[in-house]
Amino acid sequence: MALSLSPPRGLRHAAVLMTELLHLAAGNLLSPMILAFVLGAVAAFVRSDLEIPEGAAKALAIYLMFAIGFKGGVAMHAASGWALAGAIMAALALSLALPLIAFVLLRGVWQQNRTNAAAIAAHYGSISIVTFVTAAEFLRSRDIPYEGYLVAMTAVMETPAILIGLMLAGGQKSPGMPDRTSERGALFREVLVNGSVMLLMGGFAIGWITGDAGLAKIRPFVADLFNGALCIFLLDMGLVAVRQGRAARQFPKALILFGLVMPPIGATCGFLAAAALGLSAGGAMLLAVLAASASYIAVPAAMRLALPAANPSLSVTLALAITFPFNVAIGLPLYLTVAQRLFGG
Amino acid sequence: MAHPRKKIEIIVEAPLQKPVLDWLSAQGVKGWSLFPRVIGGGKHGERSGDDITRAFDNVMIVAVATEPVARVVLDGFHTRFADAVAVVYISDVEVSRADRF
Repeated sequence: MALSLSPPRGLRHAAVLMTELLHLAAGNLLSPMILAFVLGAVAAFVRSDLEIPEGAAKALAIYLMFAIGFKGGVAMHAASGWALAGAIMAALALSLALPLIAFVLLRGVWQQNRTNAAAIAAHYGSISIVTFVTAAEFLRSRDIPYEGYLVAMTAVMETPAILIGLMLAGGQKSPGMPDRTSERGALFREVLVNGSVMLLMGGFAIGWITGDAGLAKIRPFVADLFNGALCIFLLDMGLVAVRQGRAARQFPKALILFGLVMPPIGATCGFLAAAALGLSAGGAMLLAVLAASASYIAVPAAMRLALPAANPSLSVTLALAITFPFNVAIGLPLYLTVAQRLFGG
Repeated sequence: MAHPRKKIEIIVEAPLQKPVLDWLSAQGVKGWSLFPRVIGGGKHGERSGDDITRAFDNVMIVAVATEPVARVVLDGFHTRFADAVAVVYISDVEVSRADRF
């Protein structure tokens, strides 16, 4: 009997998958955006005085959010409103499920106290718009289409997790916090009308209303300049991520693992929702990215207001210095490879 | 003519800015000034003033009030904002328009 020298089929399949993943990962790591992020990280690491002025970073963030909202709206122009309704329901379901999973893991596996576990869970139930924007650009540069209403899902997923986090904290009162009801009222108002939700949904609505004709009018601004602006913003994120990691000297090492394990768990939930919605491979990848990412802009300030007993350096370090770089460097090619296997394309 | 008053200075984490201002007003403080993005360091590490999350930014609130009001603020602040990252102190000042403070 002749012996076959070729490896078993399963092994060959895995080898092909791994080669694809490595190819995508290398392409991702050598993109100007990721290299700009690395430049920022290196500058912070060597304690360079490089900094992006706060006003400039804010203006870039406003631009990126408007542009991504607008482009999502334009893509939605020709689509049916029912698809959007389903997507919003799925976004709400993810916002509910993700903090619960994070909370159970943080309490059970990482032995965090209730308050800190609830605060961290709120960060992981919400999303990172910068990760989403980077992922959308990652797809665009590979000519992989995605459903425009994913942008509306980002806006929906920004805030419910804050409320879930508060519920998970058990409605506890800090000593001397007699007026929590009005404070919560203020918090609800703040999260519902916060700037990034207004920009994303507003840009989305303007894109949806004006469609391709609207895009033709502002294309040089919202499309051609986009990558350059994203480079500078990610450079700033590199600076911020490393400085945050360095500032958190008391950060428990064991918790680092949570910041690396939670994104793939979130991505898996994202894929399940994508299957329920019947998304394309590009859309499924983006939804996985949303579910895998953690907020470090909207949620930290809200948590300081609503849950002041929680230690912000735990949650912000996890979301910003661990999960964000993981998702951008490794997560994007990983989630795309899986999405293409599961959803075709 | 100069009138003795107390200056209240509160350095507090930025997310609590609004609740603190509301509370000051409820204690009888008639006006305030605010310095955003205050840089500093202490028990909670260094604060750079340009934090993207705002969770690690500080603001400084300055107000002038009568001594009884200032005492209420000084004595009550850390009870009301028990977990806040904050420094509160009062000092003597003189003002020319007594009715304003």
